[in-house]
Amino acid sequence: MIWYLAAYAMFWAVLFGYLLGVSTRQQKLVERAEELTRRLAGPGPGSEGGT
Amino acid sequence: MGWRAAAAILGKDLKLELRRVETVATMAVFAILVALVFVFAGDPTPADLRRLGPGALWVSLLFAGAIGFGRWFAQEERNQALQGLLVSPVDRAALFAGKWAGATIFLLGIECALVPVTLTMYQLDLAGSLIELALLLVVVTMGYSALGTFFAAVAAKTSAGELLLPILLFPLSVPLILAGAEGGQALVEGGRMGDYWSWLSLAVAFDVIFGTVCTLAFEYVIEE
Amino acid sequence: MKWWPRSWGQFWSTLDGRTYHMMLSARPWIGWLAVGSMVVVFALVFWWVPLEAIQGYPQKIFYIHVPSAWVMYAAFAVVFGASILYLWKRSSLWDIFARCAAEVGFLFTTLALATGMLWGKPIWGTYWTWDARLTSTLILWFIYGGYLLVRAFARPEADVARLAAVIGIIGFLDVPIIHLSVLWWRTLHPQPVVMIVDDPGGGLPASMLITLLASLLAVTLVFAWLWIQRVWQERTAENLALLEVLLDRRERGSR
Repeated sequence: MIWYLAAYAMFWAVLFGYLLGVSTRQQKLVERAEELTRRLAGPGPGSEGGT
Repeated sequence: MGWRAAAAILGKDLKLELRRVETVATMAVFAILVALVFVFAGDPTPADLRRLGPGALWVSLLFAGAIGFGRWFAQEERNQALQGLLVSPVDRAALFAGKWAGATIFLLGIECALVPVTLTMYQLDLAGSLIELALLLVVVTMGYSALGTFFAAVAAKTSAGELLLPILLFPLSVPLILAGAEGGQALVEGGRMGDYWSWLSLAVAFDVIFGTVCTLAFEYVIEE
Repeated sequence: MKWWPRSWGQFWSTLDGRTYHMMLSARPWIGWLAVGSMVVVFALVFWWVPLEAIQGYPQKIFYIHVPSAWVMYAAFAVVFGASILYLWKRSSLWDIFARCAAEVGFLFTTLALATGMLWGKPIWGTYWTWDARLTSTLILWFIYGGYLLVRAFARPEADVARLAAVIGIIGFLDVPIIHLSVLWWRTLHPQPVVMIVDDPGGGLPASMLITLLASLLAVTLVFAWLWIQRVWQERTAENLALLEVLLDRRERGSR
């Protein structure tokens, strides 16, 4: 019984650990995308009348 | 494929290395020491020694190879000789074939010193099957050199080169190690020729498959 | 049908993009199906499936161990196929497919080993034995590890994708030979008998077979979802990096 529960607990712990890593990555990606979007909307050569 | 180009590269490598015989000699001494240290790992009886012998032989060759392959490539990288070879119109497959032959010859050279010493230290009596032993040594060494040359080129492209080479090389060489150790064991125990031939043919199949694949894939590794 | 390729050449050169878009549109479905089927498997394993007569509870580890091992091989096949296509077509999407499959495959190889050990302790009386299947799984774990290490340690000027693709191909080709050699090694050598139960998979009753099939499906869906998610992240990161370069250029130009 102990081995069975331990195996399942470990299986889920490892999967959720990985999932946590994936969602952290996701968060960083979103932050970076937001920052780049701000820069994209910011003043570029076009808005200052460049060619 | 440019056999002539392959032969030229082999000749160049041999000449370079023969000028510094000490490298080969040092590697042979290193391999013998590894085989010797194995004896200290336990407190083996003569029967234990006979059981461990073929395996110890291959482990020490494995270590010697892992050090050697890396060095042979580092040498080319150091003085930009590889760039020189790459701009010359040498076929990549010929370049690999030359390097592979060179690595095989050097390992066989080391074995010339290592094998007699190991046979003596481990009290293995193989006088009756020297030809079979030599055949096995050549076949397994060829396969190991093919993978070793190939992955030395891969590892040279990483910042952890010497550390990474054995990590890539050892798991992939498991069939060869087993063929060498188990085939040798079959010879030591005598009379198990069927097992010996099975292991030898496994090693031959390994050589054919990975000799071909490594030769073909080498250009993808070396390409700038 | 606009998406239908006009020739084989076009089929192969657009396969990466079409696969990617198919994966993205299937992602929510796969995600919910994965969650749903995992809940079902959970219920089946905990409440429904009968206890195996000889092994008792530890036999239930089988329902996560076998799917993990299956996913490990499937992921390696994905790495192999994507690596070949990368070397042929040189599209970064193929490299991303291979890279993410290797990462998630490594995770499941680790799980297969760990669950196998937790099963082995009560049944075989030891965490580890040099059984043929265990040994070749361990070697596969090292091959995956080497692949990921090369990716991590490649010099900036080297073309990592190409190096990794070559390792993925050679590693995959080696797996059957490794398995064969390890099998011979174990069968030619007599070894101390530690096995109480010899073949844990043979002659399954229907209820266990149903549970096993359900868990195979569920774990495969989990793998697929994780893989797609990672592929999407890597692709997005690549696009963002490109955007950043363009923005840098624009800001320099404006000054």
